[in-house]
Amino acid sequence: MSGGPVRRAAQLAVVERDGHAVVLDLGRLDDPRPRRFDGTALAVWRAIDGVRDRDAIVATVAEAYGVEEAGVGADIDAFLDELERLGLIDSASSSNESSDGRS
Amino acid sequence: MQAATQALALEDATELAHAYVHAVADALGVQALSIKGPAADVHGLRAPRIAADADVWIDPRGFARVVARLREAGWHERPSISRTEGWVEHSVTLIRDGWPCDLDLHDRFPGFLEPADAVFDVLWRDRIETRVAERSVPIPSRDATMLITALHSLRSSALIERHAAELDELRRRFGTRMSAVEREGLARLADETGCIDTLDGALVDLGVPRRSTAADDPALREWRIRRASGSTGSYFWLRRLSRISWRSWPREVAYIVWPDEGNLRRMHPEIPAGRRAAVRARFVRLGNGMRDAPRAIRARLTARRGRA
Repeated sequence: MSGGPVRRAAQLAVVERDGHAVVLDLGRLDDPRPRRFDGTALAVWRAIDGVRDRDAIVATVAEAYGVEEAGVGADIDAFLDELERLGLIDSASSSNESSDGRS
Repeated sequence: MQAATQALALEDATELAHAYVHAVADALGVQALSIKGPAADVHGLRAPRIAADADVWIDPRGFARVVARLREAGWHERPSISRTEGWVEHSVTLIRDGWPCDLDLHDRFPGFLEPADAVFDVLWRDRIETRVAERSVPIPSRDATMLITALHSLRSSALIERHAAELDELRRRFGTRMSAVEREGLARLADETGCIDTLDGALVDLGVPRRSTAADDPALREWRIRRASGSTGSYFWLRRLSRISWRSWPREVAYIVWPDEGNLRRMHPEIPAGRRAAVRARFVRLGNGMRDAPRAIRARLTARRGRA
């Protein structure tokens, strides 16, 4: 990974309540499709605070669920990729590669 | 782990919808104010509750552009005859697949009798910003929100319990708690926007001394007829009959009493499929009309006698 913090995109509307978050990209006015995050997806979304980098996000989520980082790293990378593809995180802030070369 | 697109809950949808409409309006350079739900909640005018639609008051000068842009983006008008038949002249209701809430877009609000542009400008001047769905959203001031809430409640409080309760809640929360300066500010805003007379006793209940500005204003007369008749379907049909030539009455009355199935379903999309359901719905509708019509006729006749 680039090592930089992972940032949410600027043009988002976000509602979080009752154990879920729903996110709408206001940069795509022609395709207003809200995305809902529950469970581990919500944990990752909450960890994306503009300060944590990929490794810190993995560590945060692993700690929250009491699992090894290696066990969740690949899933979180895939999720970050999906968020980037959807435009929900800044493209410069995510990458498939971790700092120790994992993908 | 994935970003799911299904199961958008109503309470989430309405907040996102407010943010979305503002994003569309902003992109066009059109000013807009979120009203009712978010504004009433922020100003503590009522106990928070889930709204079924996102009400946004759009600058009338940019209203058509915003609605056109939303249509381009896949939103469409809720099937209904209400706007085309003149039932609703102040708002457009848009829906979209996957969204459980409506967008209720207003270019004016019934009961404010000053020109729509001028009323919007006053409300925009006094706006405040709040956060909805983590976005900054403009809403009317507390005083303006009180006026909107009172007008909304008044126009049908004679028959709809929830609207009467909203007005009671407003009286209970603010009736004796406003200072003289606050009451004067409310009266000044009511005067600027032309709702001193339409609000009538509701302002008095909020501690504003009774005063009257209008003589025989047709818009005020129509508002009073609407209030007295309870804003029912019968009121709107009678208003329609009063505006067309008597030669058109037989056709129009037939349409009112027993509409064809297509028009019936446009008016009442909730009717189940099938001819039998449509026939049953016509009888229910007819029964409601017969129940409400005397009140609506009385209101119109009383207003006419008052003018004579």
